[in-house]
Amino acid sequence: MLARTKCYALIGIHGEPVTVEAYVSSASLFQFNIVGLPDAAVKESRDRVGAALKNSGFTMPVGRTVVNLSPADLRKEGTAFDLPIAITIILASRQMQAPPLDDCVLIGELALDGRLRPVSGALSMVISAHERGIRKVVLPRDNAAEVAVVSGMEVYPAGSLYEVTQHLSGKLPIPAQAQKSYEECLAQTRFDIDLSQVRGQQLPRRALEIAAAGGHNLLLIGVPGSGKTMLARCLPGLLPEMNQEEAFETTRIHSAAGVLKPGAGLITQRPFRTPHHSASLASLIGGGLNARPGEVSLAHNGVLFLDEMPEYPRSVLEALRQPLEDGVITVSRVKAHTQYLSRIMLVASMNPCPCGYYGSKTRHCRCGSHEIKRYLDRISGPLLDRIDLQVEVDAVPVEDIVREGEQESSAQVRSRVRMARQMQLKRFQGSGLRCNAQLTGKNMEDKAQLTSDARTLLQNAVRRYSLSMRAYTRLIKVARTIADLQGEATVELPAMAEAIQFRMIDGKYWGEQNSP
Amino acid sequence: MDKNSRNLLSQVWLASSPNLGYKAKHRILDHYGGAEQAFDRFDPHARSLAGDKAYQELAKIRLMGLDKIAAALKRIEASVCVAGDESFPDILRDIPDPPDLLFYQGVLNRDFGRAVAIVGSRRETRYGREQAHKIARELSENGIRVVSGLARGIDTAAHLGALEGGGHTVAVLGSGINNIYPTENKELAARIIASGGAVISEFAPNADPFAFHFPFRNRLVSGLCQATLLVEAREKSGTLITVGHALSQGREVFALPGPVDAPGSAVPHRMLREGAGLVTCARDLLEDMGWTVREQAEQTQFPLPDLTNDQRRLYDALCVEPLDFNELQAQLDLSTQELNVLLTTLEMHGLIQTLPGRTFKATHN
Repeated sequence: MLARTKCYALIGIHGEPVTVEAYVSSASLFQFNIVGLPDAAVKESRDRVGAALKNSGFTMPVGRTVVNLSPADLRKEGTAFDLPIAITIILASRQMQAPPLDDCVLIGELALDGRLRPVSGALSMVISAHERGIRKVVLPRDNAAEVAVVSGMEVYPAGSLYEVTQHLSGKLPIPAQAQKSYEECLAQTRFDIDLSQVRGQQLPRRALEIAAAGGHNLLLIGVPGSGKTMLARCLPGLLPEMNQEEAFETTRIHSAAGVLKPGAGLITQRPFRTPHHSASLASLIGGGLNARPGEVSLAHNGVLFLDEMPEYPRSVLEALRQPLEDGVITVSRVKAHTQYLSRIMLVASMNPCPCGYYGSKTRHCRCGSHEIKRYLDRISGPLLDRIDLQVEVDAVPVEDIVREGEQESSAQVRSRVRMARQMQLKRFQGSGLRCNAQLTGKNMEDKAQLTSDARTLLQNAVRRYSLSMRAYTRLIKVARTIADLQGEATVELPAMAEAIQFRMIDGKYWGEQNSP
Repeated sequence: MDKNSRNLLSQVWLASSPNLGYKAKHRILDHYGGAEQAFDRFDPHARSLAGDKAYQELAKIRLMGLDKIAAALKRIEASVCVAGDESFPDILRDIPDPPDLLFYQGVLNRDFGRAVAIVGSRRETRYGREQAHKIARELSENGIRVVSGLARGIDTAAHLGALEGGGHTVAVLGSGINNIYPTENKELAARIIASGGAVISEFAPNADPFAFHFPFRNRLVSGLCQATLLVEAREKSGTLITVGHALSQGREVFALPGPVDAPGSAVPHRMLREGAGLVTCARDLLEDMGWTVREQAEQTQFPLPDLTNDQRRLYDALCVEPLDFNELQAQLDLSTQELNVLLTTLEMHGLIQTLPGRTFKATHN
């Protein structure tokens, strides 16, 4: 006899509906096949389902069983099909009576003893199902937290195959999980590091605030042990909270990549990703046989931190340019072709020279000027072009570390950042822009609103430090953000004057490529 | 082809084998009784005088003939001079082991005039670079030639300073004249030639910069000058060889003091203790050498623009000593934002200068 259930396959970060059909005919020798382009993990579900059925008080039907995953031309991967396959077989072999399951989606991997294990990509599947009008979902208990925020969805978290059959047949219904509002999730956000823990570092603090306020990419240059990494880690806490849409986007990518911790729930904290400099191109950009999301996508809506940037292979750094520009990356592989979002803030850190102590007051630098130049040249102009703010970080003197006194907290800075962001959203209404960092030559002039004083100062600075055109546009963007933090409609002289302090590698003084 | 140019081209032929050393070359000259004779009567006996490799090279180039050698020289735009020529600096004839011939580009004269060699570390500090540049510029302004080795670091700074001073500067290479090393200084070499100075080398035009060339080359750097100034050198530095040459050639040695805790100051300070002249500016050196110092126009005090109270406080603080951002903030009690604005303003007035490590110093003290 025939039975049918619904399920979702994960393609990139999107769920595609899949109907699981089973046909059991007793007039044959024992045979059990799964068809419909299953990958290895799906094929193996044959054996898992067999054992799980047996250990949950059911039997594998005698005779011939065919399971079809439709549409049959869509490649299916992953283990989420275990539960629907098992339930369909139970229905097809009449071991259980249940009302039709057309409005319910089943997701879950089976253990051999019949327990349900979490799957990756549950949130994406549930959101896709919700978009298609489905309102009920049965899934493993460990996946329940991440989907609790999908409004209007009845979620039934189950622990085992047996519980699911009891629920579906109506003998012992599982209570639907309580819905959670996004605000509740947000309230649980905890940052692992707060700006108030950072001692001293007034200038880098200011740079972090400006970077957060304008969405600017940031380069921290400093001697080893000066606290570059700690400062960068503070950044997610300075950025305004993610809205529900952003939280969904980020969680879907993490869920699809399988890096979401079981039971972790929706990601409400902006991600902070720190790929090591030995990371391959594919792991950073995305790729692999099935075009998995890379670190730039995992950092979507958050921060991608490249520690010791010159140590990264040139090819990897160059590949970052396109996603930084477009906010989206297309990963094409033989078996898959997927677009992932990658709207990130890039924060990079580096030493000022190969030995690390150029400009340090406590140790002598051992590098010649040509060595310093060669080291700085490892970061190409076009990439530098995309980093608006450059700031030097110096080691904090001991007196500052032990000094008592309140340092400003992340929350205080965040509230100012939020105001500045609101000013930008208001200004960019209807233009599709989100923050000052996205300004380009075309819309820069009329959006930036420079006063004539500020413009004169900028032109003088360009002449004095022989700045490039790209440094020129970067200064305008940064000055615009500083003015936003002040709540000023136009960019006044002081805002421009401050912006000029945040240029480093270009201009004359860093590395002193020209002459003394 | 007249007699003279035949002899000269024969010498070029002898000089164009990278594997023929100074001593082997003189064995050949003694055996045949001159370069031209050696070219004409070159025979397998030279193998025992020159060694296998050099012999083969010389034999091969000899097959080209003197005309082709002349054409090749012309192609790379190199001139040649030998002792006694109009363009061969006489001062080089006083030194032990004088060069037999020099390849050069630019202008050379029999009277090389007053010249100072500035030598120092290739891994220089900002301090050394700035001082070498400044002293070279001042010497240049006083009509003194600056001689150095076109190496990275102090050498480069000295050449650049001399160019800025508008005088002539001479670079003595440790590689061939057609194979400038380090390659990033090719442009500098071109500027030196264009400004009326010279780039010279005694090695074959295409010779690679072998390590053993440099100590040998250094005798020319000091030999061309009446005085040698040492700016920054660590122990075991190659510049010590130049100083050694200067002493054995009977030339004056000067040294520029540096911070006592910097590794590059060790050698100059030892030299100073051993009696080298102390130089803090070109005037010191000129006076010690008994050379006339061009009267400088009285430095007009740069009038300070009108400064606000805070700008004034900041400038005054930096006039005492260079300070970094944190120190300034602690001293002046200003917000990060205010201080940033002040710093830019003073920088734009040209009153202060930003150094690596976010340190600032006043420019007019």
